[in-house]
Amino acid sequence: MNKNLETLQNKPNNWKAARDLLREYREKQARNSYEIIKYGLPLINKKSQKLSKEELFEVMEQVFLAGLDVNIEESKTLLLKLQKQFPKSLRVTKLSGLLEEAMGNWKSAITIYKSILKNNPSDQIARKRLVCVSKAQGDVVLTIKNLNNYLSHFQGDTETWEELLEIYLTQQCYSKALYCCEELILAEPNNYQHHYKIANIYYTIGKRTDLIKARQYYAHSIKLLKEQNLKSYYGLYLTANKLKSLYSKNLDQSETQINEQLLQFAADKIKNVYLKLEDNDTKKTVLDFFEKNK
Amino acid sequence: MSQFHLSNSTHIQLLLHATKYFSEPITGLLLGPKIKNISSTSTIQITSCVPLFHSNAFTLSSNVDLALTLVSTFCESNDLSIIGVYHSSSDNNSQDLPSPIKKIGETINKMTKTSVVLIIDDQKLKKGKEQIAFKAYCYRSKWINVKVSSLSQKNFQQGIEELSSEENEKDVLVIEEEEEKVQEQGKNKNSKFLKNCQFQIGDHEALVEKFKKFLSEEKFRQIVDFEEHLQNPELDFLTQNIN
Repeated sequence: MNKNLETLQNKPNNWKAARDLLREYREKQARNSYEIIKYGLPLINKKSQKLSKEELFEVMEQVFLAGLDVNIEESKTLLLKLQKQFPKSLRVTKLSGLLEEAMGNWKSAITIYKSILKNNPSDQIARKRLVCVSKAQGDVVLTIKNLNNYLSHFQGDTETWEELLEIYLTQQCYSKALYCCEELILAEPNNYQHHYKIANIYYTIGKRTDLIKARQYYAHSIKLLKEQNLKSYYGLYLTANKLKSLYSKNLDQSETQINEQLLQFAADKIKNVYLKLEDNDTKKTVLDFFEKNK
Repeated sequence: MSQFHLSNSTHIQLLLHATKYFSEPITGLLLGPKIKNISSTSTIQITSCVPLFHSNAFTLSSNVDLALTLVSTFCESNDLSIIGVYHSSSDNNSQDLPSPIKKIGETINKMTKTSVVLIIDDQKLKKGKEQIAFKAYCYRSKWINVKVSSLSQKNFQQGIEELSSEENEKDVLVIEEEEEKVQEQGKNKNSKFLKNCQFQIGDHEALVEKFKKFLSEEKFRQIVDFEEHLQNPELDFLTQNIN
């Protein structure tokens, strides 16, 4: 468990631990809204003189964002303070847009972002927020359109490709999701997560050729990350198992042999992960399963 | 009349799962004692749940196949059955059944000969109205919305009894309210309640109280789902220790 968090649970008034915890969350961009509100608010309200001016405003922004998830009234108060301090700030204007979004005032949010884009047409955040507004309203078609529009300007933005990928998944447009995933692999060829994801999509489409591709991508994901990659080992096992049970007639001898080897390799790796762990129901179940499916 | 019973402890666990990942879609499985012979009059108990995902992983059959395989192995050795699936989408606009969830439900139906889907909307609890925070769908060759009603604790323990006493007045109101909604949606055939199937939960007031208590104690942090387990295998997702 996090050291600062542990200190805070015993001594909730330790402002140094609170400050360090919030710093850490800012660096990691962690969305632990409950904790940020719980320890950030007292920091702003009671210990503000302990922080440097720059950090205080950063903490205020951080707590404001957490408040949108947890306690919107606090966010309103904080925004007023920030607006007073920085009446012309673009950054604060964007925060006011977020507040409107959190309250469901889509129209005023859109107005704010459009006015930002009018003066700064290349502002990526405002453009992205517009996509988020359409997503929050549940308008899938418009969201996909906006995302594609955004990507035609900023092809290299992996975050947006990921967003589009997720939306295609919710609509079961697997072939389009595949395309997004290929873009992600092109942009970040060494990220095992993308290889794992595309393997999952191929598995879901599920024809014989797709399963073989899925197996390749799971294997590649494992090649990129050999330890701490349990999910890819499971994927490899599952795919090889499915190929064996559904298509064993269509595979020639060398193919069958390779498949069998991969199946055994993945099963051994998975078992080894669990054998090291302390006993619990999950461990017992997994080992039971492999015992039955030897 | 076939009945589903959802225990309060399970009900709270799925609400806690939704609370832990309030900004993501969540999915999990519902378990109950092993069903041997199912008939149209059976009462099916839901006594525990297995939280699975907090992402769009439910749309990918690789994740779903794996989870179902492991959970059914667990069920076999513990005399349990998978009864159904619960899901909450991250945007509260959509209340209908996503088709991957239907597919999971139908797979479960093949395995256990019965299946129920719960679509959670925990906003219903937050707004101070304190209504039942999910809709139930039952599989009868297609998905049909079923009545959800709350029983007082006493009746729940005794089993199924007629809703007659005064203390159940409130619960009856809940049913009527749901029925009004159905009448509004009357044009849509799929949203009609199935008359010979009921979904019952325990004492709802007690549940709301306990849920609030758990929230203040931040119990939702103790929920572990399958996706977390894959990241950190030490975490046990099959047994949730929340009391």
